[in-house]
Amino acid sequence: MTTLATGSPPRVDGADTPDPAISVRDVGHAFAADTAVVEALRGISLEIPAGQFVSLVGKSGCGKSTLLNILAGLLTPTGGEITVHGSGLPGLPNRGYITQDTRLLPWRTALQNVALPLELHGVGKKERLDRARRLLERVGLGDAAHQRPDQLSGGMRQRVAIAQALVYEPAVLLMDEPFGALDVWTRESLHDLLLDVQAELGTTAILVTHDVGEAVSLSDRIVTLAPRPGRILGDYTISGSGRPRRHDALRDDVLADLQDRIRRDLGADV
Amino acid sequence: MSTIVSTVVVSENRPAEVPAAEPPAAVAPQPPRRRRRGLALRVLLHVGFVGAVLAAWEVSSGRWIDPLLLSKPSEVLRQLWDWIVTGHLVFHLQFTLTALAIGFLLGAVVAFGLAVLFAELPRTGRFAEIYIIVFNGIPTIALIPVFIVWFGFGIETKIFMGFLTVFFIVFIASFQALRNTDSRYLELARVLEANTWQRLVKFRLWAAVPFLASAFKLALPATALAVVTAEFLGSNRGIGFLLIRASNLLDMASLFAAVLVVTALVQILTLAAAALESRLLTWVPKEKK
Repeated sequence: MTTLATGSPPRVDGADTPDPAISVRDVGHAFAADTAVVEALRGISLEIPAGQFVSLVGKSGCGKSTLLNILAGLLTPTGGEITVHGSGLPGLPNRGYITQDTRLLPWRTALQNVALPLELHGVGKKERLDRARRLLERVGLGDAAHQRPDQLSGGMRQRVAIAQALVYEPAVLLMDEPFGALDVWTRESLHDLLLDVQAELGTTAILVTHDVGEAVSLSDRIVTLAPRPGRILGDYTISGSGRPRRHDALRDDVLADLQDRIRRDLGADV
Repeated sequence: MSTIVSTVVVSENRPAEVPAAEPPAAVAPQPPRRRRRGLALRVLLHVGFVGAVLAAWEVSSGRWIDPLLLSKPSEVLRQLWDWIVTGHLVFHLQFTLTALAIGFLLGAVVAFGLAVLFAELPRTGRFAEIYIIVFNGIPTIALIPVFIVWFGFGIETKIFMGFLTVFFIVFIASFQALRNTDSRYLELARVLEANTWQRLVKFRLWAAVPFLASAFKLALPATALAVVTAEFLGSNRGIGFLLIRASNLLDMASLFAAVLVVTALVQILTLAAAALESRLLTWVPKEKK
């Protein structure tokens, strides 16, 4: 039975509440455009428990990518505070980051690309190649280890990027529309893969998407954002049904209702 | 609410079962032999055309054209052969190639080193860049007489000319490339928490390699020509010396033979650079080459 909770998840200050993996406290961000100051985010507060899969959904201009870049450490917010707890392999970054256009290095093979994070932080050659090979096999690309990115299809490149982001077992995986450029079938197979690996490693995942169906299919929790300035509109926690929820599961009354509510939140044909 | 009667009608139209595919017999791929014959024909056509032009030149020189202005192809080839068997060609080519190799290597290494330094120290880079652009605007050929005063008639002047030619081409290309590393690579470096040295060695230098390769490809023949030009203006060795001596003696056969050598040298260098690039840089996307 699928159940749905609206609003912030109930905060129980008890011993069995998991420590938050991410806390965002009153974060705001503004940047100078040509003549004016654009306020991209205002008053964002979020607590995300470890292991949760959260989707940030909103129309373009709602600041969801800005928020993700702040979480990734690529942007420093002009106000508020963020904390990312947990750690990956010792000495390695605790965050992984994947985007729509993969940032694989074209001069490296798939294997060397996956091993790159370990190489940058002094993991020995044999160990890093072993780990990278294991992860490539995990994402179904064991045979393509020695191909370079330009010899791989878009879906395969995205698999390599996922493997690269997970090879150092980060506590948090940040994804900015990672499946946007892929066809439906490739996207669904990557959804399966992502959820499997996420569950296996206990990774906290944050997915930025404008695809309501994708968000409902994958998430434990969906946060909707309104544009200009970007602020939180709704916060829905889904429990009691296995993921990924395929198109037949999405027809479930509660989930269909949720999709309608999110679309209404966002106010248009998202 | 009563039951809603849907007004949507879906009709399905399945295509009839397609009978098991039979290989189409009519369209056979063109046999490779025919294609090869087409190529042979084209080559033959070009050989015939060039042969006819050379034959016409051969016949007309000395009959309708003053051989003092235009030597015969047979004379040019005889002269070339003469240089080969007497070792003249090797003697002069050696000089030119030595100056070329030293000038090219020195220029490329210094230019690339400076480009890396300036890209890493942006303030110094911005300060120095303007001077490099101004100096690049001075035609180096006009400075050869100055270099002769500084370095004499020996190989040093030729090396310096070669050095300057490569230097500007390689410096400008690699400085631009290093300053404009694809932001996606830099973002990856930041996400993966690479340090400054790693960002340079594992990201930016690699990303600059295709631009560096294009610069080398451009610089190699240009350097060869710069060295030969320097030899024109004061030398007792080198292909440029062969050219200018033949001109002074009105020895048209030698002059054309020397032109042939310079042409072949530049062509071979261009082709070798392109072949080396496509061999070593298989990862560079086609449109960047």
